[in-house]
Amino acid sequence: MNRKKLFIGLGLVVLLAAIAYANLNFTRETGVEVNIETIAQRDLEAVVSASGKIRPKKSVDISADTMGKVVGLAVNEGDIVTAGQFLLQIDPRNLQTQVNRTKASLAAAQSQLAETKNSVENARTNLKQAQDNLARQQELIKAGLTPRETVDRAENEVKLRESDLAQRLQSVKTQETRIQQEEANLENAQYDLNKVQISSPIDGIVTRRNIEEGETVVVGTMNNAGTVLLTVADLSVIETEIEVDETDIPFIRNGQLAKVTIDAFPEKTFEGRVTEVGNSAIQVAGAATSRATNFKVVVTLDESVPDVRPGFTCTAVITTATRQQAVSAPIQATTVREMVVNSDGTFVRAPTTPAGQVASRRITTPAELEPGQTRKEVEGVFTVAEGKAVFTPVTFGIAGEKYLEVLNGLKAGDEVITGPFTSVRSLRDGDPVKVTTGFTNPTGK
Amino acid sequence: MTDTPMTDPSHPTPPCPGLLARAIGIITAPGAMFVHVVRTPKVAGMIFLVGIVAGLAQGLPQLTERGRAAALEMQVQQMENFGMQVTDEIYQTLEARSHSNLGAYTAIVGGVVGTPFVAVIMTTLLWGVFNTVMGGTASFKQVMAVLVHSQAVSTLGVLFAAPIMYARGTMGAGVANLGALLPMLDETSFLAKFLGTIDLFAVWWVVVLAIGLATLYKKKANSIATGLFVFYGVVALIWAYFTAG
Repeated sequence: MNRKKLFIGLGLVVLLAAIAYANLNFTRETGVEVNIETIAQRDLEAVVSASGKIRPKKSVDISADTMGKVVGLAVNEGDIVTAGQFLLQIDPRNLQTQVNRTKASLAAAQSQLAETKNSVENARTNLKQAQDNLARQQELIKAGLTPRETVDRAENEVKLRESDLAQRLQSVKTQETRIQQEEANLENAQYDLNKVQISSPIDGIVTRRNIEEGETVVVGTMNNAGTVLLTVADLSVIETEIEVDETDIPFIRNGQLAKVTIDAFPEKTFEGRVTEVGNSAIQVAGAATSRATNFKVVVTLDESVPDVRPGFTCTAVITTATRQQAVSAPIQATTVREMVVNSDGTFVRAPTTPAGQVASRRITTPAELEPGQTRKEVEGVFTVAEGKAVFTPVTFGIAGEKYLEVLNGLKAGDEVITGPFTSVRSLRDGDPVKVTTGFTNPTGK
Repeated sequence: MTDTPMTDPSHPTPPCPGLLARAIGIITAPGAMFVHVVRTPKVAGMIFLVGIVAGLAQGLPQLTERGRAAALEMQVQQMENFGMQVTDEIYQTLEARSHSNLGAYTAIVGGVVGTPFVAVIMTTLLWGVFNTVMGGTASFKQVMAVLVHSQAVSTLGVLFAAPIMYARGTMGAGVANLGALLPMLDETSFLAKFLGTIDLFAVWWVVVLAIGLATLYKKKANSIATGLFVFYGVVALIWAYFTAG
């Protein structure tokens, strides 16, 4: 019995010793399952995408310069018009009457001028007659044949006639000025009369007609869309006006290529170029402060768009940069971790966990930093080395649709952890991992 | 709880061994020792011994830096098991708290206070099954005495595991399970989970408990052990089924 107990006890001790040994020397790797992808060289294209509306490059809103009833309307929406083509007629009667009245006033002024000129001739004749009489009286007084009083009367008569002539001449000038005034009035009235007939200022298409025959128009004013009667647009050159987020606007330059997709024609893409980049943020009246700050960017299409209508919604994808065969990393592999950085820029990694001990995720506190060390957030990826995730700081360049250009930190052939997303988000430097799938996408598509 | 005298007053009763002797006796000769325990059921000393050892085994390591780190890792693991995202900020907060000795003292007090509660619950279950269902006549105190004395084996397991866990820098997880002998298994596999629940000290404890209950209820230890092992096995299978990846 004692021997049996001894054997049981010994067996138990051996078993426990084996378990203790196994515990201390064989640490089961509790690696997180991850997907990896091989770093490769790819053609990259950085793009900025934004939506907006189609508009013609040249568009004219036509408003009335005079008030009145529309008595003739020659166009409908969609009509093609040429520059100078008659569009609509406003009732001219009031203005025609004004022209006629002004013409009559001018004629009266001209007639009065003629009369005044005749009276000038009479005044000149009277003056000549008075001067002759004075000369005669002065000859007679030398001969003592007339009294002094008669000579004085003749001198006064001359002065009187001279004054009358000057007055008549001044009247002529006044009448001439009045005629100029009446001529100007007539010209103005005729100009106003011309305003009742509105013609197209450009070649294009009537894209909007807000008026019907018989309606009364008012004089158009700025910032009052209600006074616009017609809009004529030149659709031979089409633009898109898009709103680009402030974070993207620094990368937008005039001349950059863009691909525009119009929602009405989803099967076709139109090419264009950036022709205008706004310098002021788009102001939205009454917008909440949380609204994103956008800037206006205009893309002019290189080709005409059949059946296009101003106001169509569209999406423009602007190519801001391209790289040929650049070393690139998948976007989903990128992450940010806080690391301890030495004064020389090198990174301090957590010490390797000894065999038999469980890895700790302990973080270096600020008080534990050595002189010159700082903690800062570093962008990078996780690579896999000996079954462990290794955080590798990476300097990225342009961002393609799915890949980021790698400027520093990785080379072609390296394997980076791309997922699952929760793993990439929670992984720590040195965490054990188990690779479940590998993937190489050389095209980057 | 009332004591039920199991001795014949006409014969002198051998003196009941002391606390330490009983604890050692349960490990080395459980059958003989349970005769004494059943005859003179004593609970308080053993329950305190089991509780204080469990508390010290949990608490003392936390007075060291490595023990604190292990406790912190266990806490983080438990939070993540419950689906919480432990961010760097949360981790730093937990780490700052771990620098105090409060955790160690809490663990020691928790062991002393918590062990009686667990013992009462388990005793109630056993007493209910054996007295109500199987028609036994043992007192509650006797059942509890058998239970807490059987936990001397568990205490031995705690003493065995504590230094190993300290050396590994872990806390909470059992070390004497069969899974430890097969580290090549995938941790999330059903087999690894199942073997991980088969702890040698737990098996030993079940055997000793069965011997104690057999002594108390005058039944065959094999039958009781079989019943307890079936229960243990079913629980282990269910646990492995629901936790395997």
